[in-house]
Amino acid sequence: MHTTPAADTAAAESATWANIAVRWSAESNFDVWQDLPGAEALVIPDVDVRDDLERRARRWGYRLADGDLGDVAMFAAALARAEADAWAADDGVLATQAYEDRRFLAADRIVPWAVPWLLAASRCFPDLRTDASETAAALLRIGEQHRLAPSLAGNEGLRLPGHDGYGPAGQPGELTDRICSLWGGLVVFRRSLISISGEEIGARRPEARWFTDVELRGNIATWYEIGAARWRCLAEQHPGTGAYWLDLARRASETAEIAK
Amino acid sequence: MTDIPRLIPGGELVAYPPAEMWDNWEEYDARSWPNKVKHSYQLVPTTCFNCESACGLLAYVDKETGDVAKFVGNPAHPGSRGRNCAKGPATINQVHDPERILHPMKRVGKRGSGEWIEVSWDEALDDIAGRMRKAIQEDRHNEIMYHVGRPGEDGFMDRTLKAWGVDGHNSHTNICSSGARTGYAMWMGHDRPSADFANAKFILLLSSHLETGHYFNPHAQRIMEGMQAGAKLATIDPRLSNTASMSDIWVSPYPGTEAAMLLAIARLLLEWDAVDHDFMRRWVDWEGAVAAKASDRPQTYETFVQLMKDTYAGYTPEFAAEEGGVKPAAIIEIARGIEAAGHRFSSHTWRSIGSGNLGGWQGARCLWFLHVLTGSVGTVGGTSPNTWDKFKPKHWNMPPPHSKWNELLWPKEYPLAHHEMSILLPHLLKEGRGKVDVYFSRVYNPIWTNPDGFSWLEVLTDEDLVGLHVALTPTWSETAWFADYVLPMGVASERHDTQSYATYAGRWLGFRQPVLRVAGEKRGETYERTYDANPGQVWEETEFFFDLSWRIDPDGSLGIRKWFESPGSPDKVVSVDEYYGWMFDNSVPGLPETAAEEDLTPLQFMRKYGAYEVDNNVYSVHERPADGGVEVDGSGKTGFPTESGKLEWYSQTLNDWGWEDASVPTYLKTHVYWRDMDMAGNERILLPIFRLPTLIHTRSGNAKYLYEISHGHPLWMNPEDAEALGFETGEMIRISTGIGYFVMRVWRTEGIRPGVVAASHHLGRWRLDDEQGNERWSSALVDISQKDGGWMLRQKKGIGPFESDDPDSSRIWWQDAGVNQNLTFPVHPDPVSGMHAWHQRVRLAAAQEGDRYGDIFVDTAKSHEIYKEWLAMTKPGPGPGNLRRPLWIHRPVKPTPDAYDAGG
Repeated sequence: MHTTPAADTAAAESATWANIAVRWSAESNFDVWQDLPGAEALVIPDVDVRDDLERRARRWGYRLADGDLGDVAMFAAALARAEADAWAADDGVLATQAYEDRRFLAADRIVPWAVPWLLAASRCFPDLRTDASETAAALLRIGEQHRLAPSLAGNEGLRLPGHDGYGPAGQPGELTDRICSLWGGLVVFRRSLISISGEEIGARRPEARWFTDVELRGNIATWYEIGAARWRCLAEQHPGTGAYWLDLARRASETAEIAK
Repeated sequence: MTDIPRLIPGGELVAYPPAEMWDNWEEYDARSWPNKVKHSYQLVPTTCFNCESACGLLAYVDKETGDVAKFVGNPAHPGSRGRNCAKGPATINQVHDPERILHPMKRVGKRGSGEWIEVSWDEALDDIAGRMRKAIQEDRHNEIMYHVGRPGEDGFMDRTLKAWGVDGHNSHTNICSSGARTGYAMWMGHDRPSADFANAKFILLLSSHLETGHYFNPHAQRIMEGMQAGAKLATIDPRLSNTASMSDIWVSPYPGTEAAMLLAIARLLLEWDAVDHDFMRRWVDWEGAVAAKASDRPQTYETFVQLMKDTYAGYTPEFAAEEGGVKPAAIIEIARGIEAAGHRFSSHTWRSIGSGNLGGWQGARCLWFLHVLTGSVGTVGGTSPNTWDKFKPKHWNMPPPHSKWNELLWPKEYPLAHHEMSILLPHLLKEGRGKVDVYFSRVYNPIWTNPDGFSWLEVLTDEDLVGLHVALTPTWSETAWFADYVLPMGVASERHDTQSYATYAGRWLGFRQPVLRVAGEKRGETYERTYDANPGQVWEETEFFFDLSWRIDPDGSLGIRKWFESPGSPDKVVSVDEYYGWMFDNSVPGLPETAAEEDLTPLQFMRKYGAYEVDNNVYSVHERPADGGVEVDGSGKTGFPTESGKLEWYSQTLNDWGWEDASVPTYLKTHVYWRDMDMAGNERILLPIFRLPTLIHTRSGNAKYLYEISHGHPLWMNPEDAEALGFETGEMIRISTGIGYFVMRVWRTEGIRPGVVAASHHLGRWRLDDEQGNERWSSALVDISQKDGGWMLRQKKGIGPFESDDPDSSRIWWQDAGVNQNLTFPVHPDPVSGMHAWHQRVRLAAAQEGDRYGDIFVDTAKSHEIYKEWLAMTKPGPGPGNLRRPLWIHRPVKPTPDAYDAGG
């Protein structure tokens, strides 16, 4: 065993992922979990990521629990550690595979939904503001380092192997579905809906009557237009993951148009 | 401290589909996500065609659409092991390029007018073959010339040209590697090194080829493995290449002074006695050296060692450092590294010094000297001759050598030229030394790639000098625009070739194949010719030359047809299955047995896996017993293919052919010697030969992904020079050469040494028509006119969006096509190696009023004068024995010995 710069880099990233994993378990975030849990399958419903995650984990003998942010972050931490150990043991092939899987995990299964979820949580849950912002910043730093989804000219062009963003572009969809999924451009908590409507509601789902209310539709449109602008800013600040945020900006703008 | 789980990689940890599933591989369509849309693929291996490394690719043929969906690395390929550079997967762009040529085209207007009609393959073949038949019947064999850029299959054209009886093989080698080849060949007969990087302890590179991952991605992988195992990497390069940036030691000397540095290292090794005397005593022809250089002293090995010490006494580290503008400590550090590595010292040079400088061939010779001193020749972690690590299969029904000699290719002034003097062809034609009746350019673009391109344009548009120009090409090029026929040839997934390169201490053979044809045949389809399966009418050279040869001699009266008759039915043309089937059955050791283990024929095995490893752990081949070989320690050994059978520090050949001063490894002054230049004024050395890792000469202009990555073409300039000359980044600059000038923009960077400016030779594509003639992904629209007694090229439009079937073409955001600087370089043929010395003495000045980015001006009358100046440096043959050229030196399509006789 010996130290190498590659091993040091991977070990440092392992520690970052482990901190994220510890901080974002379901147990320690009761309020936000009650509203919208930090799990890809719930932030982007109708997407079954379980088999993909399990297939990747099985290759490494890793057993996933709930597939939430804490769980997949711990898997990423373990992959980074495996990479560091492999570099130190001069096993370049294993190190490269661990790196590749971690990069894929970050690019496809974590950063695209976790950053939007964390940023929304930081606004809706004052107690989480610092932690959520810092975690989002850490993920964005990882995204920059790995250039997970560089900003490019259009929505085709170069894509990372396996990267499929948020699904097909230009799906119209029902407004309700768009609001309930990041597919529509924003993470919307129940608390967000209360803020938009000014009504106390029990479920994280817009009520049908809202859509006949011109003023409320206008509020929704504004909400999404502001969201689109935020994504464009984020893309400028973080070109290494810019393609994600530009994609969300476009989706949010489309949702705003539909709401109008 | 958080407890992070330890992972236990299981059996499923594979990065590639397993070979047993290649016939029926399923993947979800990423673009349909989150819906799960399954696609079924037939995975067919082939070999990359974008550089000469011949890395393995795996084509995903969609069973539903019948199209290729993507390319990934072929994990079964022993050289690349599934890992590719960006150019391999970008083959998908080349297949689906909306600009590609899909049908044979014939010129109908004036050459270069851009008027074309589509013709059938039959019509093209009959026309070309008829003209060749007439030339052969009239004993004008030397008017047929085949000029190759990207080589395909080793030996295929040797076979074809021998069957025709034509001494017409021309290549790109003297703009590429003749220099380095000469340096290596003078030592050991073999003309190329093969370093065992993965096992090395010290690696010395004199170029930016390797870790940069441009050529030799398989080498780059192994350099990284060596470094992971603790090897030190030193790079000598005036430019901070990717390789240099990853090195432990980067030394940035004035170009052309590298040999002085290498000899200083040799001197140190001799001084420290860090020499493998046993190896030297047994394997160096020291007897010949002592007899020639110290005949008055005792004829002993000790005298030889002293002779070397005396010869290099002046090459102190201080001298070499002063000469190269570097620090003595760096030279000593490299020497210490080599000393410590001993037999585990690997090195490589290919272009760099060898292709940049007058006398540059001595660079490779001085580098190999270090291996000879340390005995790191053919050792584990050392460096071998490349022929030990490259597998050349035999060809079916090989014709005997011809007895012709073509002086347009092998002029008497360059008897030691390692390869054909291709850069001189325009000048030799203009001098009336001959004409070319049928000229094939094969994946070659001399107007753009060669120096002095306007001289090429002049002869290619003169039908009295070049009767018929046939461009065999997978893509438009500047040269194809001036052809009579443009015949579309396939890219990596659309053609047959075998290929092998030295990548490690072992030998492998790769098989390039038309993947749609192979997939179709697995489904039970049958194809007469590969163009029946390829896109449009895109064909392959193998079948093209089979059919062409048959049509040159349809009745067999010229003795050509018999070499192309099917062994099973002589009334038919040999098929690719018969041809490669014979090769794999009969000339690849171990392949039939390995194939039989899977119940496959050898051909089926190669079609299934795309590559075969013939052997590995190949070391010390020179020590193998050989009847009639060189005698060492009282027994016959394989040795080396030199005159003495051993390594030759002293070359009797160089001595006998008039180059006494260069008969031992030495340092020759370059034509861009910095002390001879007006460095206080505005003269500088231009280094125009560096590569971009993502592009490949003229064949990547059809790959949109690659141009999206690389599309800037600045002139690298050190801030010290920029301050002295008053340039800021982005400012336009006029760079004047011996025959003209070009205009580009400055980039201030510490990545180049002061006194040297540099521009990559990978950009600067142009076209004369807005919609055809070159790829719009990569070329500028230009106008060419005659002005002030010369040629003026001016850009009318840079790169921009265009409408096509590919929506990406409307999203092009890059604009800079670059500048075709090679047009402004006169020919600089080294009088020994024949290599074009690419570096230029240039004058730098601010762009003048009226200058525009990309402007190029060239006076071809001046270029002819400079050709004559360099011609005056030669020592023409014949040499000893009235020979045109020494018999022992390699020559493509080698004729019979009597052809070497210069006659009366």
